[in-house]
Amino acid sequence: MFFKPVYILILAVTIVIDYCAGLLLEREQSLPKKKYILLLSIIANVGFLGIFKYFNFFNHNISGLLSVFGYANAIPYLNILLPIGLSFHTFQAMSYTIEVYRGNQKAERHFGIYALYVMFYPQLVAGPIERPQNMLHQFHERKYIDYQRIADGLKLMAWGMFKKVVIADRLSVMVDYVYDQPKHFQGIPLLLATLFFSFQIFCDFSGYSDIALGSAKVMGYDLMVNFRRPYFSASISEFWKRWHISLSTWFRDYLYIPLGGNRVIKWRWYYNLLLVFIISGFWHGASWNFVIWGALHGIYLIVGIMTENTRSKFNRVIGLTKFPWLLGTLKITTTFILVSFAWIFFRAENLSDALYIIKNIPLGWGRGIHDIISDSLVAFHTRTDILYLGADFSWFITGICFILFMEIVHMIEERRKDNVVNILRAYPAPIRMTLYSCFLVVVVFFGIFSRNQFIYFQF
Amino acid sequence: MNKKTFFFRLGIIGILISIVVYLFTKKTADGLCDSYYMRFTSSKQNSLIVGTSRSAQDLQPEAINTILKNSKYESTVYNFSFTLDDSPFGPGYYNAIKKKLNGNSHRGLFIVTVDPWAVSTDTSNKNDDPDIFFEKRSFVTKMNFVNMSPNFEYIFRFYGKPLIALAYKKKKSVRLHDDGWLEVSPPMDSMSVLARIKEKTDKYTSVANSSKFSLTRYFYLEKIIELLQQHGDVFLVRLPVGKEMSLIEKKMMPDFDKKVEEASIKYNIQYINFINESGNFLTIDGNHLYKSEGYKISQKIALLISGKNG
Repeated sequence: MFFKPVYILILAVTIVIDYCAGLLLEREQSLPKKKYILLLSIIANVGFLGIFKYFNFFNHNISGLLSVFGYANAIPYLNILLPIGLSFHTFQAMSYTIEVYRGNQKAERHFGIYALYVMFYPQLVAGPIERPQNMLHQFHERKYIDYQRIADGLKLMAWGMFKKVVIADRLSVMVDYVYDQPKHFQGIPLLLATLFFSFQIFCDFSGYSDIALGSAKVMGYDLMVNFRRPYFSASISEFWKRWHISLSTWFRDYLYIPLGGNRVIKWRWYYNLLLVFIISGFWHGASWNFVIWGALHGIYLIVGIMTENTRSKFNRVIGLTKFPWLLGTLKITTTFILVSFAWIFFRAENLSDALYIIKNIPLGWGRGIHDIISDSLVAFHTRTDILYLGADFSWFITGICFILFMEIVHMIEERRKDNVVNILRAYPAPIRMTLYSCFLVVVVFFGIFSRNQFIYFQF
Repeated sequence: MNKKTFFFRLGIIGILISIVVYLFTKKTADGLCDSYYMRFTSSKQNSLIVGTSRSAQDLQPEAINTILKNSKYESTVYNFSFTLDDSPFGPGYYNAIKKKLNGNSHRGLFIVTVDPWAVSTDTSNKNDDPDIFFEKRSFVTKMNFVNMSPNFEYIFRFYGKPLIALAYKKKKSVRLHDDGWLEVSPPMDSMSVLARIKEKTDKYTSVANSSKFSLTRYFYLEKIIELLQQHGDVFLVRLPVGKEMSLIEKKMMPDFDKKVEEASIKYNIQYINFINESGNFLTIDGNHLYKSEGYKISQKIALLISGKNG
């Protein structure tokens, strides 16, 4: 991911193409011609994405395949960098032309408004991937300063900052320590780093989304919610209704449903699911690791569907249905474990590392526990390696405490079916101000401002 | 919520947090935070020591200032050296020195320490392009404000730890003094020293194999000399190291001294070269002198400077 000023031209070209395509689609009555215009628009958008993001990946794989048969690949690699936000604004642009084609959205006549729809800065780089029905009309509406709305936007941004600089960047130190050289570790550190990564990527991405939503709100615009407490999901299906909602609904509306969705025979339904998730994995990055990550989620869903009746019967037979809280907790925990397992492929540098981590998580526990307890010079590894993952006790414990704090807030929101800012409105202003001040002090004092960019900026 | 309430609440919260952060940082940010912070909190300086970690650890301003206190030089010398990763000669360090320098001074003393590493670049940098010098990512290159106390830019952009860490995480074996000298006090038993020498020797042997002389860096060394000459007297110094390190440097750049002598002749400045005394001083790792040895070398340099100036 990189930003070079000349890459603005890519954005400019796709904006012009899709703006014109929208107008032509609305004017054109003939269905074959409409399909042709839509196809051209999609080819242009996907073409840029394909060249900048996937060309070298495919070329590399072709080279590998040809070398098996003793041939050399004459196609040179392209010396280009991935323009920032390309994957996101490409999908956002495509959703516009598709909705105009379907007749669900009137073509935007004002070029500046259409350009703003694609380039709206809070969500240009890493989403949420918006729909024209949600955004375009907002750009036509007159905006007035609403101090309550500005305050709510700032609070959302502060919450996003907390997740990013206090939790995600703290966890990244420990995750990187293990995942940058996983073959130095076995057992406990591999498991801890994987679990920490689950929270790191959530806090990083949802933190960014909150900042994007908050800054848009300050200006008077409402973006779609992108995360809804995904680690409280009781199934993988529910997880994808709560995680990166803008992307999952995009794939649902523009790929899964056009393929037939679940209104086809069973094997075709499973094929649709698997294909959509493989493509979703591929969207994240030009690497087999991302494809496997996507495929795993597809397989999870298929297996979930296939075993649904069996699992329900089993839960009834063993009496779990009599304890809904226990059953719910088990479901949430199982879903979290499955998702975390898949994250191994997402985070690992390559397939070899991912397979090493999976193979070695169950190993070395005896030695690891002994070394944690003894933490002496004769230990194979010290606590710094095994438990604190290259950091120290204070870093480790504050990371865990902040994760717990965040999940308690999420639990309250889940129970009350509302966000915590609205919940706090019931309390007097001095109490709210004190809480917000303390919260901001925590962000300022415990935040790590000098570390990484947002993970999803690389997509 | 109306406008008055909004700004009142925002103002109260903002002012309260700013006061707390300012007071906390003022009280806790000191020379034990890390090896760099304090150098960005001192005011603009009339006299400087510049270079990499060798001068940062070896040259003690107190030793120099004691001998030169009645000399013609405007004020005490300040150590503005960092590390090889952060302050080799290049555009980044040049600009940082410019920001640190008091532009109104004319009787400054400037000790520019030189070594082959500070004028080298990786062999992969075929065009000797300063845009891909590794220190471009360093705080020395990126810092905008190098004379602010407390220096929030450094703390929030480059410290790498949360603000709260200023209060409790203090590695006492490394201390950055107010005059810029970095006092390092590692274990000095022979086994530890030998282990560190071996580690350094292995590392620098590997680096030497992938390094080449950089004309661009040499150009910036000359630029720094020209800049500093406008504000006082400049002395080039090559510090002694361990025997092993000196052999690596000799092999890596056998004509290094000749190049530096050319610069000293060109600018009519003295080149004080201790490299032939390598091995005669106790080092902590074969690269950096032990503090008492650094004190001696600092005194020697000061005496040579005062001898030249009478």
